[in-house]
Amino acid sequence: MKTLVLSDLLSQRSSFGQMTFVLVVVDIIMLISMQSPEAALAGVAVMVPYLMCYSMAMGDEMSGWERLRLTLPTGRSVVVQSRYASVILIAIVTCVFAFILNMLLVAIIGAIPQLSGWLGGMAFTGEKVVGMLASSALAFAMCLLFCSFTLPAMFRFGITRATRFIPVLAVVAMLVVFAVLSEDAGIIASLDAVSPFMVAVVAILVSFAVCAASIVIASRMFDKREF
Amino acid sequence: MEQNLVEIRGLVKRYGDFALQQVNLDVPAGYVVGMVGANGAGKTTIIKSLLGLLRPEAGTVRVLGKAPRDDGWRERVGVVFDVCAFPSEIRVADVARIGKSAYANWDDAMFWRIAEPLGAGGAKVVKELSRGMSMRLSLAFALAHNPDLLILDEPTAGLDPLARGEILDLLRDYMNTGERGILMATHITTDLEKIADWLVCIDGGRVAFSCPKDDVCSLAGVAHCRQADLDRVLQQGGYESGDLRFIRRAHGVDVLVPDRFAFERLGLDVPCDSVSIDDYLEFTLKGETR
Repeated sequence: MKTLVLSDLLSQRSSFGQMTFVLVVVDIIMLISMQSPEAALAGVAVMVPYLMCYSMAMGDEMSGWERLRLTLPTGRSVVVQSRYASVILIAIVTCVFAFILNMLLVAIIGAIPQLSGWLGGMAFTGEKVVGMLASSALAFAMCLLFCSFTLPAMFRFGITRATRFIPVLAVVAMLVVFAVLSEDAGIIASLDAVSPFMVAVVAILVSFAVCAASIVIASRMFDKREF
Repeated sequence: MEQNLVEIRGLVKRYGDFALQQVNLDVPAGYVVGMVGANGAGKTTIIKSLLGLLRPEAGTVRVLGKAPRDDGWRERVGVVFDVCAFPSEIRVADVARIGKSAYANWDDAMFWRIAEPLGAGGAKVVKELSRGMSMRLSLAFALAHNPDLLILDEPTAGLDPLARGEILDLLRDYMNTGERGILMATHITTDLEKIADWLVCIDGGRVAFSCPKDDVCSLAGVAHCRQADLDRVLQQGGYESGDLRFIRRAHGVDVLVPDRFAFERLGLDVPCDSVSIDDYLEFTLKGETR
């Protein structure tokens, strides 16, 4: 597995700088426009790992690496597991980076009264830090959920064919999330009584459970794939 | 060490209107087996079936005694595809890192010996390599873990003659050590004339012929005769019906004879030349018989 995780990270190395720049710029724009570091953090922490997951799959297919790696002394199930491991690793690093970035931004904004005033009195408080931590954890969980829905299709059909119906899967995933979080479901209201940490922990556990199921499904689908 | 590094019996694989039909093929230890055939004949399909990239509908495939989807043989097999299949953004040095991580028998010194012309330090990115350089990189990766078997799919396609010569030299060096084997699919038959021990021709998904290379390049011949002499050649040569294949040309008839030395001893006063693999393919696939 470490060989394939290594190859994933090496293949994305040239885009790390570009992705970091995109993350910082988008984060700042979202923070200013939404006046919410929690929302900005969540937005970039979901977007960047998912983009890199897509980029890895596209690179594998275009270069032919997806065929050659099957001639290495690893099995098809290891190919699947290592891709999920790469995505999880990238998501963790992105969430930590986005958290630190937003902490710095909020600290800077809070130290400049005029800037803080423009942004709705944003200040570096303990509550803000807790909110950003929870947002970071929820973003990780959401990213994992998105990848768990789309990776099996990528493994079964290849990225080019899977692209035709991944948007449908993404819309279905979003509709499920909206339904679960809708007012009628009452989950959001009941979360007010629960600490953000508990919410984040539950979200991460649920996402890992979904991810585990996704790995099993993806392995079975990848086993059928012919090149 | 297995006697046959590759054994294929009765391989059947269908794609739409193309099918591999009852393909039998062996790669004995110590042999370079060249697989020839036109584009779309089924060479790559056979290789993909060997590597477990495709599931055949019938037949048995064994690589180093194991089924393609089994574990335990990939450590001993090196593969080169017709394109450089590494992620395009990684560097040559990264390819060595991946190989060192993947293979227990990785020989870094051998990798760098072969990859030396790709630039010091391995800083070049894969997408910046020329066609010849990228095939050299692929071969370095395939050879550096000391495999017992090499499977090559069009490794010299698109290369200039000098680059092709360098690749063939590497393959000769590889075969000099131990009871190794190579299965090489190519439509550049001049490469096989230089390196192959055995030839398998695939045509329309079937094995058209399978024979020692020397039967083609050293023994067989082309007799150039006039139309009027064709019957005389067939009768006086003592050939059975279907033994000879011939092609009618503007100047006369060219006849493929299995043994040109024996043909010359017949004293028929018909000139007979040696035959190339290309010519042999033409006679076998397009020639008439009587």
